[in-house]
Formats: sequence, C-alpha cells, structure tokens
Amino acid sequence: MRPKNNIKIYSQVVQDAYDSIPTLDWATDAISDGIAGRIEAVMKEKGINKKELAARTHRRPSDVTRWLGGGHNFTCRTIALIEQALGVPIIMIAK
Amino acid sequence: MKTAKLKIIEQSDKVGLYSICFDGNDLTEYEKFVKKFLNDATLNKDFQKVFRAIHRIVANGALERYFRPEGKVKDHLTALSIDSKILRLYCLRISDQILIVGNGGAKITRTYEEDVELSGYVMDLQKFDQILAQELARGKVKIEQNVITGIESTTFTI
Repeated sequence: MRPKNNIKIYSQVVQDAYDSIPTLDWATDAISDGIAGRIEAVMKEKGINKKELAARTHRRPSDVTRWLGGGHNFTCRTIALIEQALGVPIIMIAK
Repeated sequence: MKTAKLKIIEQSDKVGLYSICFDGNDLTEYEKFVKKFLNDATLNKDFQKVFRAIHRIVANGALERYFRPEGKVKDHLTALSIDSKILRLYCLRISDQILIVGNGGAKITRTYEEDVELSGYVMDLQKFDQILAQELARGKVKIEQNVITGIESTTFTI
C-alpha cells in the first residue's frame, strides 16, 4: 500500500507509472523502509556511522548504504546480523 | 547554451519534486526517464526500484539516507541509493524538502564520466544547480520550505 501522505501528482507520465506498480511492491517497500529507518535511528542514538556498522557486520560500507536506502529486500539473516551488531532489536514479532 | 523551465512533478506535505524541461520539449527530463524505462523489458525491474525510491522520498522527505553523493563536495548532485547495479537517476538534493530530478540511464562503464549520455545528464544538472543558486541569490526564485516560487516566470539559461 502506498504511504498516506497527501501527494499531488502533476504529470500524467508519472501517474501512469504509479498505476503500473503492483500493490505488493508498495507494501514490501513500506516494511523495508521501516526497517531502514529503525536502523538509522539506532545508529544515530548510539553514535555509529556507516563505516562502523560495516565493520561490525563484516560488510562493505556500500552495503550499509543500500540497507539505509529504504528499498532493500532484507533477509532474516541480515536483520539478525544487524541486530547483533547494534545490540538492540530492529523488528518486533507480533504475538 | 540551452534554455529550460523548472516544472513541478509531485508535491507532498514533505517534499516538492521538480524537474527541468528544456525549451522545445514536451516532457521534463524526469518524465523522459520514466517513459524510456517504464516498458523496458530488460531494465523494468530496476526502473521500478528507482521509481519507488522517488516515491519514498516524496512521501517521507529527501532524507540523506536515501541518497549517495555523486558530484563535487560543493554541489547538490546525488544519485539514489537503491539495489540496482545498473540504472542510475541523477538528482539535485537541494534540501530535505526540495528535490530536482534529472535524467539517467544504464551505467555500464565504471564511472559516469566515461559514458557520454550519462555525463551529459550530470553536466546539465550541475550547470542548473549553479544557475538556480544565482537566481536564488537574485531573489527572482525563492525556496519556501517544500515549494520553489517564481519558476513560472523564470527561464533558466544553462
């Protein structure tokens, strides 16, 4: 589902492109961007930069950049890796 | 020298998304990019990632984490931070609330400078960035949070 902000689109070309994107992709993006936002917030809170998180996860800084970009298709393993590196939960499982 | 107008593409309460429309063209540079890759069989998946990234920005703000710097330290040139290894869309991130999107394409060379088409898009944006700064200094064009005013009556010479 697309985010609920009030967005006005002035271009028919852009509107047509919006209409072509499957609903599931918007929903996937919302989850991915939520995870990215949470990672960024924890990094800020703990004073950890991209380079530091890359070192802690044994990944490249460019990987961290992609995680934070908001469209990354995270695996459970990657989330667990980041949680271990940051020392806090990134996602909560509904019970 | 080319002349261009700045046109609004999308407006949210967080971001004003603009693109450049060169004199004699019906479409802005961003619309040309969208039209070129929307039905491209090879790059459609990558295009969707780029397009959805633009939507995230419009919905949430042009936050730093959505971009990676591409140009010189002093300019506003950026590319989107997405999983696509091939497709690039170049932008000017003026602030958290204003984004000017340009054109882009498949990056198959190591750097954009090695690709005539991509480096052309980048140069257009870099020149526009300078001209916009001049117009802002003159006061003809103004940025008020997520809106650029005065663009209807302003022609930019790039």
